Amino acid sequence: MISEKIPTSVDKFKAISSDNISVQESDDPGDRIVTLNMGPSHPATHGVLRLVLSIDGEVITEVVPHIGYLHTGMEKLGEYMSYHQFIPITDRMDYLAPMLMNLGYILGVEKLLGITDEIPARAQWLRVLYSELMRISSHLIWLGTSAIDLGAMSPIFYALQDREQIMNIFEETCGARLTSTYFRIGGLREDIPDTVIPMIEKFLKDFAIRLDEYQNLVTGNPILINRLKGIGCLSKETALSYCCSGPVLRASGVNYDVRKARPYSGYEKFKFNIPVYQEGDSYARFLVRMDEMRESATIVRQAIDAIPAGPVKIDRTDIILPDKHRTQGNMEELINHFILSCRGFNAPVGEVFSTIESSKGEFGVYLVSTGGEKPYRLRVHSPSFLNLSVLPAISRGSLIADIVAIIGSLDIVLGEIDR
Amino acid sequence: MADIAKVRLTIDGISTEAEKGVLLVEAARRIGIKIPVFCSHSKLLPLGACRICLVEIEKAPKLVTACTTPVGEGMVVFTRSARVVKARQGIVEFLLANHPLDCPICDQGGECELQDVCFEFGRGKSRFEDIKRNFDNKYGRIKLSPVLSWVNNRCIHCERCTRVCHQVVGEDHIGMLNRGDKAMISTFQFTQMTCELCGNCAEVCPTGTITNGTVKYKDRVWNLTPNPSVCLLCSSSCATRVWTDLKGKVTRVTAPKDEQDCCDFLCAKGRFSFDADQGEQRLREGTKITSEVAETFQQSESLQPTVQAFKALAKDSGSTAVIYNSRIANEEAYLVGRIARTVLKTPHVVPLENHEGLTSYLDRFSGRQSTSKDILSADLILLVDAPLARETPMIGYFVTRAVRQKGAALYTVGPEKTRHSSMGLAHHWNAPGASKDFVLSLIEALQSRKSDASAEFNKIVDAVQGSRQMVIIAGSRPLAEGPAFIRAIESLSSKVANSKVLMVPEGGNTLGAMLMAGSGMRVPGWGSNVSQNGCSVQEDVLGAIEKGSIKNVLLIGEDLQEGLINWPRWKTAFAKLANLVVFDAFRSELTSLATLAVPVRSFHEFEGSVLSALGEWKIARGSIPGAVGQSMSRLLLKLESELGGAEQSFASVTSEVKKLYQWHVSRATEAVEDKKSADSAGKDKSTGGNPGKDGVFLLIGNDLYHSGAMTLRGAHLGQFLNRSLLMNSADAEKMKISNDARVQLKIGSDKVSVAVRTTDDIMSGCCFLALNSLSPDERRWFGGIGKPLTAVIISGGAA
Amino acid sequence: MITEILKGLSITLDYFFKPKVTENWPAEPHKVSPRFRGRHFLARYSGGQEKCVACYLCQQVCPAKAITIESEERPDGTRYPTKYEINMIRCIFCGYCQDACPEDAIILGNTLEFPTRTRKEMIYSKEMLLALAPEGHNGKQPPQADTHCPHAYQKPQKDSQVSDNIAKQPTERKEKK
Repeated sequence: MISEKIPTSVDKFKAISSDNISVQESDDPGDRIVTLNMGPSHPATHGVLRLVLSIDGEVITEVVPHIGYLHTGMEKLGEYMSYHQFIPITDRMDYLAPMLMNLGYILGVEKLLGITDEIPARAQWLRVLYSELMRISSHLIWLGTSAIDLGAMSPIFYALQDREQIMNIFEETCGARLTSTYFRIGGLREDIPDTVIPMIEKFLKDFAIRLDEYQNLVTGNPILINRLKGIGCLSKETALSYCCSGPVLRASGVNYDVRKARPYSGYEKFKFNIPVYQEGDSYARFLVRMDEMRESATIVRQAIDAIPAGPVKIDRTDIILPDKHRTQGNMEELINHFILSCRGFNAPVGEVFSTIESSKGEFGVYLVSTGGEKPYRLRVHSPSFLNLSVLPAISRGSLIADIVAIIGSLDIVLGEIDR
Repeated sequence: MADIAKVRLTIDGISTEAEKGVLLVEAARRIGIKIPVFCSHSKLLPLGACRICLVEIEKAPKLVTACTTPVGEGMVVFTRSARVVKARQGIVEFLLANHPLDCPICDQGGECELQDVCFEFGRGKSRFEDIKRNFDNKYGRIKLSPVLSWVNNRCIHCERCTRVCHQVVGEDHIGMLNRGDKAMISTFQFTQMTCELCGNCAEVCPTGTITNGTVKYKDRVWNLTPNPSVCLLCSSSCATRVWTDLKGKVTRVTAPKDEQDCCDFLCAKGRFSFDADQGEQRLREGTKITSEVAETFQQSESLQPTVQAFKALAKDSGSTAVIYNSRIANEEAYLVGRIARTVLKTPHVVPLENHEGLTSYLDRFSGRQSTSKDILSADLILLVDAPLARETPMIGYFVTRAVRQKGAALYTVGPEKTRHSSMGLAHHWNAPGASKDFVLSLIEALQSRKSDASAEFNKIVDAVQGSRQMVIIAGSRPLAEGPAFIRAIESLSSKVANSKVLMVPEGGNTLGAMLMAGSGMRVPGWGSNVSQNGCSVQEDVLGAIEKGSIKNVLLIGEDLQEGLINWPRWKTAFAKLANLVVFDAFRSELTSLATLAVPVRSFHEFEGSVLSALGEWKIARGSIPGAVGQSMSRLLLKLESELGGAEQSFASVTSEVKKLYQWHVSRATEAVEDKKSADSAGKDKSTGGNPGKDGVFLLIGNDLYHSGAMTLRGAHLGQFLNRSLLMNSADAEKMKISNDARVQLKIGSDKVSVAVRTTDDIMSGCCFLALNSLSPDERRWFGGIGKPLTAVIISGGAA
Repeated sequence: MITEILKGLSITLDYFFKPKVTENWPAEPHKVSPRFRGRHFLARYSGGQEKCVACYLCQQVCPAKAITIESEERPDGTRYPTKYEINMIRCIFCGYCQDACPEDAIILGNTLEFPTRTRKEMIYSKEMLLALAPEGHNGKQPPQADTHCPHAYQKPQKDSQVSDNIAKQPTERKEKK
């Protein structure tokens, strides 16, 4: 039983202030600026991103993003691991699209080794198939989380439900739902099981229906349109000067997609469109991603229909681990398996820069090799980092609520930004 | 020597030049082009058996092996053409056809030359579908040795092991048996390996056929760190790599590979004694005895007990003696000498091992003794009472290589026929202690022959007269004859053109320690206010302690009790001392008696430089993680500064030590000009003794597998110890003693019971006993390595 | 405006009547695929001998350095690990150890739930890993245990047990007079 009234902060203030103090409205705009910390631990910042907002009332005058809360020294770690050992680390960069991260890194290493043309057709085809499934999965998460940031509670359930199917497909293929580590330098870890194709077929069937539902549920929703239209306008010049890529760039009118500009892994064999919108606001970015999901589904459809037969590993056992039954019965394979596992292959001296179109934008690696089994420098080119850097430019003058919408529309993943 | 003509050639488009006679493999290596090899080894004669080094030479019809082809003027060589690539793939395929799938269980995995070559040059996909040859019969899986592991299935028949055994070590213990796909390497009739177990066959084996059995299945090479060090077990002072695992424990010792000069090889002592300095036998904590109570202290925590003890020693400088042994680095010896003279101000700085002639040898021959290159290029090698295989195996390897690879003539002289005698052209029996007489008679015979000389002696004289470059190697026994022997050998060397001299003293860093501690030698700037009339040998110190004129002793080194002659007498003498300070790595009675015992790093862990008998300066990094305390040099430097000396860094000590060595070398070079001592050689009286009517000369030396007592502490080498008395078979027959019989050996008033092994390899009237086989109490009669004693053999002794 | 809201609501209402996709975990266990990378176990041959020969490849290839091994020689001459520890907290379940193992000894099984209350319990020793091997391990069939690998060490032959097969001493040759 509390006998005394516990003083509140207002009481304490009243106790120390005298009646002579009065609060006046200042005319100096500088006096009106309040610094608000949208801390790293925040449900709407899509990760551990800290935004220091300078607000004048409800209007944002300056945004300063502070990153590094998820930094784990991956690039430094890459200098101490063989090329093969680094693949699981790439999984943890953009953890919503690990297969794309794997692919970006692996294509870089393959370019360094000079074996890009020797990857078997089946391996390339399957890489495309899984990359597109990954893209859909990443966009689904984006859809769900951006919608819930804006207050729409239902889309996330349906998006995650679809994503669940994709995760099950991944689990069936490689054993892990999220951090797949399925691709290898020189091909894939192993061939896909037979049970996966029906699962992908089923997914495509369900997804076609679901895409229409999203159209009705989300895209046409007037609340959503009001929240997103005209918000965070990014002009073409600004986007290009900040090196934005991916949907952020394409929503600002630049028709640049690495899959079309510098096709890799057999993308030139697929027919798909690149959605480009001119407005550059959050709604345009929204629409780009919705359309991209549809395009990815077509690519998956094309891929499923015509998977070429053949091996999934390059014919060089001094780069990729041979099949286990070969290792266990043949001398050369056993030796190569042993050396690859204990040391790794020797990369030639050189440097490469190689990018792919990941769900967030242009992702790639800059590898410097001075010979040896480990890279000398492994620099990751992260699209989310560059997309995030455009945030202050496009959010000055918007409201606090719009910041949430803009971050959602930029679709950033802190794992990729901080590494 | 005239400059060797240089030859210009092109390898892979790179123009280069090399001396005439250099092999293509070496010429390519020099410009950074790696040609794979299996049977080729830089220290072995080329063989061309494995064919993996095939290269293409323009205008040559077939591919040639780079390891057997010397460079030719204008040669254009391709090491990566399509033909060569295909040939290499084919050779790898053939080699792997019968190779077992042992990689997961093979110890060589990760450092296997076959794996590396196959990974880089092989096809990568096997086409072999047949049954592999399998030596899984009784003979293929026989255990030939407790310290080496043999799996004949993995052999690729490069024959490096047999060639090393024949050309480098000289043992001829293993060979290739059978033919074709049944060819396998083993001992004759698959018997136990009774060679010197140097393990060099395991060292050079490119696959896991022969591996170090003491670390079988223990760890992988990628978990181990190689620490560069130097072996302190004999005066060859081989450079070693001491491998430590992830926990910092010493796992194995190997020779460094791919280095220009020497030392791709080790001996049994260096290789298998890696566990001798681990475990309970190490002194890890300091102990100090204050008023009858022993207290332990951690050296890392406090320097004070040691400082106090040294202050006590310094107080009464005239009655303090400093004794060091040869198992310390140059810097450590230097600091010991400096502390002794400048801080403790004592004239008694004494080496534990007494080599009477050593001072005179160092005075006259520092820097101009024979080097390994001299031995290898000699055409005549004369071994004067030098049992190299037992005392300094590495120098023995150079001699074997000179004889078997370069065709040098070898003559041995002495009371024992050594392994080198079997590859020599003649052996001249010479009584122990009479090496000087031999040398003097050789000098005389060069002028005028005597008619009563033996045939062997005459052969030696002819050879010396006809030699182009001669190397004379003498061991510890001639060295013990004193400065007279040095004078004799110097005289001989001056009379024979282009000849070099090499003395191989027993012990570790014997030469370096003596030079740097400066006992008996002039060292500039030291102790100018200290008299030079100090004790020079340990017997003097013992006598002085018993008389009472020395009241404090500082003993510093490793395994010190082993080197104290007549331990029971020393024990009683130590009881009289006021202060006994001992710096040692191993526990012994001595360390428990000490008023202050300080733990130091052992022969694997030490930091510093070592001077080998061949004049090479070798550096040990001291980077072992589990090393006990800090290195002795740094400890001594700290002590010095605490006791009033100037502060100095370890780096500056290393450069001072190097400068001191250069000073000794320059003095020796000046001494050459002084002909006086050489001419006085003939005036020294004969040193050969007579064992008496029933007596024999008792020769003392190390056991083949051991060096002092340090190696006895290891589990691997500890199982090999020959306790027999080697006796001449004719003498044994006369005395009706059969092989393996037990006898009593009476030396002075002491008796020791031993088993006998009869042999023809020892001179009549001599017998040999390994010192390591006796306990310190049993060998109280021991008078020092190199001094032959007289003894009486009494047959039918009780066990 | 109202029509859009009603359109959205009708979708959600439809889902109200559709079968639920939620798994009733933990009442019904989650079904994993045959290739699932879950908790490790060490496999044995059908005769009972453990497959692991302590080749150290898994320790070396592990990106997280989660595996620690120490090994020795058995009295019958075969190679085996005396210590095989996986620190499950370090492990990232990439499956590299499984890929690298030439003996199919370390296998990632199908268990995905194995929480503990202390960190210490998450360090799995060799005995624990051996005990975890399930019967026939869920579709990951081992290769033909006794015959796939021609290593002689697997089947010590009757007349050539290495431990007993110690070479005899050479006979002393009689010295010639």
